[in-house]
Amino acid sequence: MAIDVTMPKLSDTMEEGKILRWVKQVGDPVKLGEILAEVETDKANMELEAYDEGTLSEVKVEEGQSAPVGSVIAVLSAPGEAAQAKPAKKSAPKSVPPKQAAAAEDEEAAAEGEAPEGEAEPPVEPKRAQAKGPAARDAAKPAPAAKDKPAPQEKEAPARDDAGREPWRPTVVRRSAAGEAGGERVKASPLARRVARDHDVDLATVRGTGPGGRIVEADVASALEERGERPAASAKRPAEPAPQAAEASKTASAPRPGGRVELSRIRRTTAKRMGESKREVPHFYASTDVLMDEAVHLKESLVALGAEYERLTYTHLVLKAAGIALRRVPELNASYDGDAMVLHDSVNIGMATALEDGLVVLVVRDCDRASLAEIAQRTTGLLERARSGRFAGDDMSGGTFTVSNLGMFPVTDFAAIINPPQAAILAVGAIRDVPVVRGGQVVAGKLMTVTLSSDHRIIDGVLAGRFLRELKALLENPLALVV
Amino acid sequence: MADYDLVVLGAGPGGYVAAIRAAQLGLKTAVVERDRLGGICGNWGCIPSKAILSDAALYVEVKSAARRGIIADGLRVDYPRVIGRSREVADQQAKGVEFLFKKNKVVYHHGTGRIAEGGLVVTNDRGAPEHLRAKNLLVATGSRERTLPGLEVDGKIVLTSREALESRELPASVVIIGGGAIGVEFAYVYASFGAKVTVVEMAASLLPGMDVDLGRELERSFKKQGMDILTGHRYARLERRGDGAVVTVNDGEGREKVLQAARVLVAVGRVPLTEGSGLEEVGVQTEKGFVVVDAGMRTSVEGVYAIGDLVGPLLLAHTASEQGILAVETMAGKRRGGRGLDPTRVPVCIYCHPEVAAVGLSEADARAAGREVQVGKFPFRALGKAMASAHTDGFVKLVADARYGEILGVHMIGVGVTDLIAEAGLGRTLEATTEELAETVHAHPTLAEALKEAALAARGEALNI
Repeated sequence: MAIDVTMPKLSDTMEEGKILRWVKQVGDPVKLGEILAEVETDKANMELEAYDEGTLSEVKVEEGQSAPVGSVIAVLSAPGEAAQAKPAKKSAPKSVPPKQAAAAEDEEAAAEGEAPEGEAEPPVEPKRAQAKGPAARDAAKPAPAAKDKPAPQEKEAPARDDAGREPWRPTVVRRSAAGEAGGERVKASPLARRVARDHDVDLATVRGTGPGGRIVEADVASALEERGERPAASAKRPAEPAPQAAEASKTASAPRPGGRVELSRIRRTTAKRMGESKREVPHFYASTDVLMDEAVHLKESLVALGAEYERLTYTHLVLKAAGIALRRVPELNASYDGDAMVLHDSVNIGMATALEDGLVVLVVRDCDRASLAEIAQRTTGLLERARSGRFAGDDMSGGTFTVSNLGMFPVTDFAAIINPPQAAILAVGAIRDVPVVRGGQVVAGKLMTVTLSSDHRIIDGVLAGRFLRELKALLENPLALVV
Repeated sequence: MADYDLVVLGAGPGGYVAAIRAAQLGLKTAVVERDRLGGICGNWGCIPSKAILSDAALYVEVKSAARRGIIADGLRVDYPRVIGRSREVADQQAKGVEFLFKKNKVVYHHGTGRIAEGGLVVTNDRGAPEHLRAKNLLVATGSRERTLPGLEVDGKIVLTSREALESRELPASVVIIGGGAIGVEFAYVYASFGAKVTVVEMAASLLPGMDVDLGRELERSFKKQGMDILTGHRYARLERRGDGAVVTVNDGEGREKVLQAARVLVAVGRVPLTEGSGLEEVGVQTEKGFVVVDAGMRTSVEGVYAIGDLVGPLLLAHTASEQGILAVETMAGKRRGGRGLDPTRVPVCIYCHPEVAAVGLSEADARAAGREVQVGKFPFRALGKAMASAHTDGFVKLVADARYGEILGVHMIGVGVTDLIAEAGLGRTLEATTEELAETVHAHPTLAEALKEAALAARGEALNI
């Protein structure tokens, strides 16, 4: 029996959603709570979780295409279904609208998730961190109901039967926290609301322990701790310099057509440095295609292992591979210093990261030596600090190379601007399904295009070629990244 | 078979409130008290001292009213009557507690209780020791006055607050050792009624432990009222001489000062009363004299709970009451996995004039805890109501977290602040931020406007200064 998967309404203002990527392919078995696809809404990119089990039998909306809320985007065929003559059941994927609370109320969230220009890039992490809110974990528990009884469910989109009529169904909609009018009111203290908004915590997913189940700050802090984050301002936390924190929240505002938006301090710095780099540094560009089938397999296996790999992303794989490649081609792990080329001891890779008010480069140390798990852990820590505006001393300094990943967008390839005085920067595009030739046969493959921008004053094409050869080899044989 | 679900040892503000709450929850409850119902608070602490303090304030108000056009000739103080009235108030309190026990069917045993196998043994002068078998014990024996070596209390020349509250004699001069809450309240009483008062405080400012701005402001005000304040001085020795004493104090750098006075009041804090009740004998763990408890007020011995001054850290009547309720609700299964009583939500009030009140973290403590803070301060002299009522001393200081505006602490000094602090306490409980305080409409003209203005000031938006 077929189960229709419909485009859910993920925010109050959402009218349609765009399929960024089908995580599940036709023929794949789908379990409850598994990610079906990544969807872009008017507010943010989100992951659609399966709300029924079965096999993905049909995809009705291709990647990159949009579909209105409520329309069928895919079909699941139910496994081992008994011969019950029921009409096709509707199923809206349960999903996690991570920024909904914040975005609905708060303009400053709007800047997030937008692709900055040039080499600016929001890495995979922020998006994933968002999308993996506490609710995402909820999905790991067996989602109740939906099989036969139309039990009240969170976030269930109104379903229509085949004839287009809309049968009434008891649908409890849990509004997200930050005080939308209507719906169920979430009881939370003002401080809890503020901390939750700052850390993209959906209060609807937080268990309140205050009087009458009211959510207090400690509950939000626990939710953050479960996520592996710590609230920015907690009495337990020792002081850390927070130069940008206050400023950031003040300067961030949603761009409006016809308006003039004051640049944040971060943005001003970026503007100045990028201008200088492009004017002074003679860039040249070299690209290669990397077959990512193995890497995708490895990454998904590791994530399935959970624990220290729970938050592993493709960016981490690229950081590790670039780290080893830089060790093998040390000339690229260098700086131009007027009349000298400075070769660096450590391989510290900057990770271009979009924050609410601009681009920062967070430095992941010793990418050549650190294990994948360590890289994932360091990156998570860096991002958490960056997003709360509480950078530690060397979070943004000492980089010897930079990686910029726009893979979460439908960007096939791009050329990044070098972050001086570094010698090179690697721009990473999306992994996409393409026909590839293997053993004389055209088969489906997963391809990722990377582009290296190098400073021609110290790097020649040969060096760029050697680096890309190493990098490609490592990513195509990714066990080398683990052993 | 136990006689009681709960036996409470001590009928102070912790024990008696706990007993009533237990009875409300259906626990068969008895209270054992060796002295009077109401404990120190009702009998030799909060309540009688507030009676005397309000008389002192009334006297000062009338005496100084000439500048306002109110002239009282022949104004006199009948100090024995002041003390007498305070005793009447204390008696009323004790009777009130007795009435509440009857109303709630709490059994009251007069006598000295001692924890023993299966419950508590009560001894009194009326007969054989009685064994009360209980499922749970709640120990609320409180604290006693602390003294210093060489400052033996004789009740005539060297007093503690307990003797001072009962003495019907108004001394001509008093040296007060200790500039904490109790010390400054008595300083105000004696100075108001005409005694020459010297306060000796070891710390750099009065009211150690509180936000330093409060102690500094109080010192300024006390000096204006004619008192001598010796901060940064420690008691060295005492010599009894005739009807008085000579007290020598040291400034810590070897310089000594000699103070003469008819009375010496020792107000150097209180120590928990752990001895005598059998607590230590049954294995209840203590640390630095205080009983160690968990968030539900459970001690290290199953079935034994402890609250109030025995436990700390804030030796205050309302802390004891809240802890008593917490303990009883824990044993009744009404609270699970609670967080206990958060000391930063407990207000501290001092009833001299100007009054002092605070809740939450001092500015220094907030910074020491690593918080980035914003401070808003608003003086009462900028407030219409304060000017109209001729009480312009003092200020409201608000310490907020810079990131979210969380109200970390509120520190007030001035007339009426012991009542104004409740709003700040509500703010802490509700986890309000400066935004909610600033958005709350405050009636004009009131003293409460000062808190809103302080919240605005912390946000850099103060309107009236």
